[in-house]
Amino acid sequence: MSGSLFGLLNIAQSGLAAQTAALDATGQNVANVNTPGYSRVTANLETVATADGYSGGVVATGMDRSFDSLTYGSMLTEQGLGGAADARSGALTQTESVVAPTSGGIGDNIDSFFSSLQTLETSPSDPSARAGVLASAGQLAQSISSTANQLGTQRAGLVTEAQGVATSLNENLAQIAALNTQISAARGSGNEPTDLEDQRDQLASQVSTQIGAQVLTDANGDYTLLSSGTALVTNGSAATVAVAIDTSNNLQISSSFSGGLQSNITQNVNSGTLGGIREARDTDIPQVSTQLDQLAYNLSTSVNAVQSAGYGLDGVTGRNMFTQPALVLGAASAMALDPSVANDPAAIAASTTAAGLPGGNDNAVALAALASQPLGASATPSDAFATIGTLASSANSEQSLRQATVTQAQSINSSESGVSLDEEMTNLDQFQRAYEASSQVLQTANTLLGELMQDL
Amino acid sequence: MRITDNMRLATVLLDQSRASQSVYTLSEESASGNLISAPSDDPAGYATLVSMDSRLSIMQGRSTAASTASNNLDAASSALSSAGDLLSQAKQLALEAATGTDSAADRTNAGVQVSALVTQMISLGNTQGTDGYLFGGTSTGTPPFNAAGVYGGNNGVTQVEVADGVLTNSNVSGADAFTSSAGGNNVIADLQSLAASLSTNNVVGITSSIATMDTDSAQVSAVMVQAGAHSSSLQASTQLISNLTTSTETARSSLDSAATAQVYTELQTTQTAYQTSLSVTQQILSLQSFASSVA
Repeated sequence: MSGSLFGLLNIAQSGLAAQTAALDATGQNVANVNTPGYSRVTANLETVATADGYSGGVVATGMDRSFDSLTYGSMLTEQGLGGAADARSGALTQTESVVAPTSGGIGDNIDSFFSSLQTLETSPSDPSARAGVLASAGQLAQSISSTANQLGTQRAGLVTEAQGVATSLNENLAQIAALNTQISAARGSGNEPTDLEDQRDQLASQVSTQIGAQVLTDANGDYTLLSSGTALVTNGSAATVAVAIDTSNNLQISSSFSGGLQSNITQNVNSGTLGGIREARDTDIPQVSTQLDQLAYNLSTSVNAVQSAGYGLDGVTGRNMFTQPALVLGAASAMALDPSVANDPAAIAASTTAAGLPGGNDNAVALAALASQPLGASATPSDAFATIGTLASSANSEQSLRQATVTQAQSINSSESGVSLDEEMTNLDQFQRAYEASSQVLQTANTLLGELMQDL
Repeated sequence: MRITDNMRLATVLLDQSRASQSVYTLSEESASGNLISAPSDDPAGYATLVSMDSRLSIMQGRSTAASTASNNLDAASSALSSAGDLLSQAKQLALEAATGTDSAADRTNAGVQVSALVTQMISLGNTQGTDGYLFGGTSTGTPPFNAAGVYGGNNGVTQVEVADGVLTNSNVSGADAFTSSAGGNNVIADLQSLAASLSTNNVVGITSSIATMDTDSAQVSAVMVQAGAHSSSLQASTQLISNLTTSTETARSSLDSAATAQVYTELQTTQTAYQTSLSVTQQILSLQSFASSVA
């Protein structure tokens, strides 16, 4: 073969087009440097082979998206764990402030109650000392019961929060399914829909923070998003996740595809915000509630045993200080002053005998002495606080660890698919020079052709 | 490894947020002076603090109860001491009246004086403390002696707890001090009988009362000694509780109180770290703008 000036013109022209495509890719990368979920693109340049084996210039065959499914997958996993740790730590911080406020908490009220009984020791017939006991007992019962109720309210609030997360999750799942349809349509017509894929990956990353996610794509381009042991998106169809309460007042999370059966996935939801909420709501907080119930039960039972054995100023015996709970379960929220002593300071039994009235203080001494005796088998106030403290602090340290691992996984993923401005600036220079060179070639070919024309 | 702009930023942002968190925690510690303000700051430490606070509250209650009881016992002791003085006066009057030089009119006058002593003695027997009558046993609501000097109280003992399971008496028995219930004398009846002997000029009766006054005085003193002993035992307990409180407070503060110098130094260090991470962020951002301007 032999070259031709017209061929050179074509080659120069293909060079201009190819460098423009490469500049396009660079421009797009620079513009999207801060777009969440954006994967950088590179223009795919190939030489154009002619029939006689000579190069016929260059052609940009499309944009390649830098994407590594391995690093992306591990980022999704870490984000799921990070989401769970965030949600759990947030919930437990709230629980901590309910159970152990800086002042005026249950611990302080227990101390004031026993301190008022110590005052009664030396003033068993003093109406104001008796009123003091009644007031501090009422305050103690109220603080325990309101703490228990606040924990209940928090659990109810977490259901609403979980339902909110599920609503947003369902929107994300539906959008992913819609994008799948658009992506396969674009591929069918020979296009490479990199921006749609970016959007889909970004949505999957949100889903991962919400419930944990794993993404599988096969050679045919079939897309499946798995979470909590089930598929939530399969190509163009998305499942709906529903959050409800089961008969034991635990969260029940289920998923179903349109027209399909609902499957209960609760036990597998351990990742993402929903997993974190579930653990805090149905494991951690009930543990604290149980401790609180035990505390209320033991305290009521021991105080009642002593109080009911003694005599009030009116000579009446057999009256409880607190309403005696029948069961440990629910003892905290039901804690209240017994109706037989409420509003009647004289009913506080300071004496063990009727004959000892009004100055007998032996029962008051016995009541006050309960402060330094173990309450039942376990669950002193310190135990209850230690439990909540341990839960909250382990959640906090897990959250801090997860924050680091999520950042690391994102960095590793970004190392593959993120935009480096330094690199783009160099590319920009490189393609600009190549464009200039191609236009120089064009100009040269043009000059040569011109000279030829003059000679003719 | 290929480094992208967002990687660099994400890393410094994470470090920055950690440094900022440390500065926040340390500022909170230095402002409040406490290392542990929530259970999650140190679960085991928090549990120990709660139990120490409870011990401190119990000890404070015991200390207050012990000093109130001690004050009441001191009041009882002082009343009993006055009662002893009254008995000495009565004995003195009896001694004077028993001599042959006194006329019947002198004895009648002495009888009027002793009758006044009876009234004073009844009033001493009805001395009140912080929670009612001191000498009525547990019957603190009504005066133990009526106007005629008849005792209506009981022998009930009251106690206060000064340490776990350790009880100290917080009253003394009026019955033992003033009445014959424990095998002693009825002090008021004895005074009344002396007054009667004086007003009826009964020299034999007056003479026998002299010895009775001595016995009565010894009986009152014995109870006064008991009151003093209980009171000093309570005061010793108060002292002991105060020592224990101090040592518990020291232990509590070593657990919870932020050592000012240490926290201040740490705060300085973390602030420096925070400022460094801020300037690193600034540099990274300016590197980016440099790259853009070069291009």
